[in-house]
Amino acid sequence: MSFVAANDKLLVLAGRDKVFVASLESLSRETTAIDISEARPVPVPSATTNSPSPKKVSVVCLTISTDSKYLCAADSDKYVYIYGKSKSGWKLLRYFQTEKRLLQMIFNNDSGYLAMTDKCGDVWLSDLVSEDAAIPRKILGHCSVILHTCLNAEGTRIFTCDRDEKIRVSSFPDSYIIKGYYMGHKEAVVSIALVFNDTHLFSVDIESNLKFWKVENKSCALTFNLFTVLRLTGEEATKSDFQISLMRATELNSTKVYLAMKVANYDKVPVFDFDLESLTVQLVGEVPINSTLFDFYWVGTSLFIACPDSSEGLIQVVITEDGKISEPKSCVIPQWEEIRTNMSSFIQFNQVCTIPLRKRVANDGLEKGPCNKVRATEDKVGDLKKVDGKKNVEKEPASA
Amino acid sequence: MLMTPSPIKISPADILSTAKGKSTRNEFRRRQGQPRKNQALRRRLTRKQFVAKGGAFQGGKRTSACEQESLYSRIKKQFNNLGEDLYLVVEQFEMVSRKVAESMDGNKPAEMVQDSTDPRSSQTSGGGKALPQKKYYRQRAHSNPICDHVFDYPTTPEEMNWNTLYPPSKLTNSRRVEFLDIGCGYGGLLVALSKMFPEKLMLGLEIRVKVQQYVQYRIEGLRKMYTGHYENIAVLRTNAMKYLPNYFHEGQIEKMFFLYPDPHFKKSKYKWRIINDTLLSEYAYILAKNAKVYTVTDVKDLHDWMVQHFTDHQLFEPVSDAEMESDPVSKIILDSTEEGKKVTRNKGDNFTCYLFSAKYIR
Repeated sequence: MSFVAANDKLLVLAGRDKVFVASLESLSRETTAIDISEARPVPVPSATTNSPSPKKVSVVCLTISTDSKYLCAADSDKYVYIYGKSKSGWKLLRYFQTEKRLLQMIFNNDSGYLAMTDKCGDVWLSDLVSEDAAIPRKILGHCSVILHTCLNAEGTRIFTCDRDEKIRVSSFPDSYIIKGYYMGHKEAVVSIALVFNDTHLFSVDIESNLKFWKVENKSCALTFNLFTVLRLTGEEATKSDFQISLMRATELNSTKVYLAMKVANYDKVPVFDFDLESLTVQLVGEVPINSTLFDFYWVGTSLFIACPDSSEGLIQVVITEDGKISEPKSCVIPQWEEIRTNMSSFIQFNQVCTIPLRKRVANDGLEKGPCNKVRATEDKVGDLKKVDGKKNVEKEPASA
Repeated sequence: MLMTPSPIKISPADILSTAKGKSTRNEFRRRQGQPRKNQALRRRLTRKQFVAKGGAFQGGKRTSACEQESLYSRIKKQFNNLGEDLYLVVEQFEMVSRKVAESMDGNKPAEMVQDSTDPRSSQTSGGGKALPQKKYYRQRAHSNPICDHVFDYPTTPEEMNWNTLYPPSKLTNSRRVEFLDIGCGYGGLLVALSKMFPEKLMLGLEIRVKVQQYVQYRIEGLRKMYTGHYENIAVLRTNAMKYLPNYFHEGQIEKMFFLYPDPHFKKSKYKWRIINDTLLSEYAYILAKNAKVYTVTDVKDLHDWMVQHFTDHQLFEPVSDAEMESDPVSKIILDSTEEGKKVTRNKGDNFTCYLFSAKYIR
């Protein structure tokens, strides 16, 4: 559920019905509002009812291409709208329908392809250059829901991570060729980020285990537990159910990466820095938000946080030259009230649709087995009990 | 002149199958000319038929074969404390007589003993004393593979301890599993292949708890009965759709079997089918170059689905008829499994065998 996207020049915020585009050069200038509800095709009235009942629809995700050529938004009715930049503003170029509701969309660097991840674990591709751009084709699929998708800078590899602790790298756009798996996580992998010129990969799971991988040989160099750094472990933390729900990374230089995390039920944004020379992760600071509903995006060394509960505007935090983060500053945006109400409506709609990421039984709560990990003895009995609901499945022998 | 169009003939079967995309197992039975599931069970047998099936009349009431006490349990009841020891004596006698028979036949391994004693009494030793009986390990055929079952799986293939499944003598020279039976059921194929390829390590994957337990006890029993044999087969309870990369390295498997997979007739359940376009990429990842994939089913619709998906996928190509005929494995896969025997018994003629070879693009 992310409602902020940005590239070097533009920042885009998604609301329930509208998408707001602001220029990063001067945020105080007027923001352009694109009304998605106007672009929606009018629903055909069904034969049984006299008037079609208005369906509750909302924007679910959005993305902007790196060259600001295209802006793409998807709504909950499975429509995808692609807008192109023109002199008079943003013009709707095309729209099409997908089979399932989308979770994430990304453009590749030359804006030739749009990769869309749906809620059922499949990735669809729309070739924007060709004639059948409106007919997306399925390129890859996981057995469980894909939580984050990432393309490398060349556009030759696609990285996907899912709820089954797997990170898969496949060829792009021929993604039926799997290049490998990054195996090591024990919980659902929430976010991945390619850093240091796509030579290394960061991945984080819901239990805040941050892994640092070498992309070439798929080996995990380091693992860090971020909750211990934040002191969010213990009984109180278990009650509050803290989980990492998002991670975004930015590179300061060729040896330092800054990672901002969103922790569910936590009202601050912790920012960590990773040093390639010392191979350490440190907590740089925590940005207080006073709300648990927000989203953020890095633009260079600035972190923009959008929170509908903030009365003034966007919150901006900059990484200073000495490697620390500055005090949070409010960026006043015109039409902020309208943006706020739209964003909170967006969050209200989409929060209900969030997928539970924890599995039924945690791996730590079970006995040891042949895989050196766990064996579910209790659940085997549970399975048997479920199956024995039918009489003719098993007959108890009279002797037993 | 008005031309009235000729009436289009639609059979009830078409309506049933196309109504909301429904097509169920009962519909399949009806098309095959078999009775519906509950109809078959409610069929009342005559006295002669009942007795022929092993039933008995006790106290004026019918007692079916399953409900009657087995020989072992009757002995145990009469000799309460001595029952266990007597069982051991009987078992030792059986093993000795079998060995004598083998030595007289010139070291030919004897046929498998089908009827055995109650496995529950020997559960503590893992059922290794005798072969388990299938009737105590029946479980519903359908299972939701997308659901969060609780499994025991390694984080990476390197962490998997294969010593718990195979004896150390089979794991020398870092040997790996090469034949994989997805949805091995009651293990018929594994047992048949074990004799044909004694040097290859084979693994069966089964998601159902009781069925996996049955195969495990069966393999343990066979290993004890025939020392030195059946040590290259094992079974694992896992979800093959989700956790294959957790167990196997890239290009590890040489042969993969999908025998009588669950057809999941309804359109809304097609994503549960073991063969689909997204999963084929994962199978291609763990298959070696020119590895073979065998598929068998008695459901024409599923067979067409599987053939279409394999053909459309860029990393698989069909194998020629000549190569299929010369392959010794393709001859045994139809009758070695319980499902295959059931199809033969019911005179189903729709089982088809298909063979695909994996291309290797890296």
